[in-house]
This record gives sequence, structure tokens and C-alpha cells, in this order.
Amino acid sequence: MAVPKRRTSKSRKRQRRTHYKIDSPASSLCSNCGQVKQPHRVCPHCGYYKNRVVVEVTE
Amino acid sequence: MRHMKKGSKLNRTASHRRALMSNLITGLITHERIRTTKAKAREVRPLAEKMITFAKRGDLHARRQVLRLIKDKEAVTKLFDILGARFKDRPGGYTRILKMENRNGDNAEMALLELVAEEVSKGSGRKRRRRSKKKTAPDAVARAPQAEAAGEQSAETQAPDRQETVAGEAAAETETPAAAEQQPEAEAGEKAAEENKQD
Repeated sequence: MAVPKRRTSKSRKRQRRTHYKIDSPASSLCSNCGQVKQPHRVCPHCGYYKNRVVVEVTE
Repeated sequence: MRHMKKGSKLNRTASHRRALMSNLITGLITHERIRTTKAKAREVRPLAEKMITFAKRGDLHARRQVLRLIKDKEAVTKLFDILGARFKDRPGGYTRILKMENRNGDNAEMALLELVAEEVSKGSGRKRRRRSKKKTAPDAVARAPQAEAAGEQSAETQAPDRQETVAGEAAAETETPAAAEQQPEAEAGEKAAEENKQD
């Protein structure tokens, strides 16, 4: 059975892992209240989506 | 090998899944709008639309077919008497899924599943709504003073863009008014959102 000839060094391991990243979630501004919200989602701040009230936001 | 990989099982047994669908559809008929997870909303939507199609048919056989799934007789009565008539002229697409913030606790994707309420929008109606929205934008900024900076910025930077979008859409609609009208509203809305994003 094939086995590694060399143990993976700390350097190699860390170089490999530099590409393990997570992206921050996409964001957009609410067209109604201007606050940051996720795109294609009902605005959690004002309850607007596509220029109309969708849900009541309880403060 | 789950060949076409249709739908999600929602981590439930067949009977559990069927009961869940029944409950969700009953809730949707009774309340016209339900908040649930995105996965459930997407599973229940086609089934709910089929129930409304049965309701439009309105005969006894259709009613009995619906009663196989929906056990709540009051809900079925409402479905056939009110909803069937309401969607008489709508060729499918009776429901709409709006995505919401993820749920606190398990970070599940949440969505609103609602019956489409308003009339099939004509091109002019859509434009009118959009313009009236622009007028309301300034007082919306005033309503959120803590986000004043962000609000002003967005109002300034986005207002011209939106005018362009409206103008562009108006042009598109005059070219192909019939096509624009026939589009299901949800699809048209998504398209508009994409256009806004590109701006």
C-alpha cells in the first residue's frame, strides 16, 4: 500500500491551510431604511421587501 | 442511487412528512401566510398549489381528493369557497416565498410562504408602485436616525440609479408589453431585484 515517504512539515501543512477561508456573507443596503441587510431577504430592520411592508418588526 | 433526487425528505419518515405537509398547508390556508424554514416552504409549496388547483375545479371529487391530505374540514371549506374563487383567473403561481433572516438558535434559513394577494400586476401598475416608493424613501431615512449616515448615502447613491432602472424597464415594457405582463409576478420581481443589484 502506498504510504507517505515524509511526514508533512508544519510549514507545508500551514501553506496548504492558507486557502481554508470562509467568505463573509454578502450584504446589501435596504432600499427602504438604508441599513445593511442580506440580499434577497426581507429587511430585518424595517420589514420591507421589494418596496412594501412584508412583516411587522417588533422593536 | 436516488435517480432524479427529487425534493427533500426533511429528515422525516414518510408518515411524519405527510403529516407535516398537511399541517403546513392547513396553516397556510387558515392564515394565508406562514413563517417556516426555507426547506419546508420549498417542499410544501408545490403541494399547496396543487390543492388550490383542486379548489378551482370545485367538484365533489376534487374536494375528496383534497380531504385525503387536509384533515381540517373548515380549512377545506375556506379553500374551496374563498381561495378557489380568488385564484380563478390566475394560471398557477398562487404562493410566494420570501426569504427572511436566519433563525436565532439554530441559524436555520427562514422564509415566509404566503398566498399571492394582489391582482396580476399590469406593467403600468408596477411602475406606479415603484415611483411612489421613491417618494417614501426620504421619510424612511428620517425614521431610522441611527442609520442616518448609511441611509443618506444610499439615498444619494441609489436614487439616480433607480430612475435609470425605471426608465430602462419602461422602455423594455413598451417593446414587449405582452411578455412582461404574462410573467409571473415573483419571477418579474426577482428580475427587477437583479437589475437593481447590477446597478
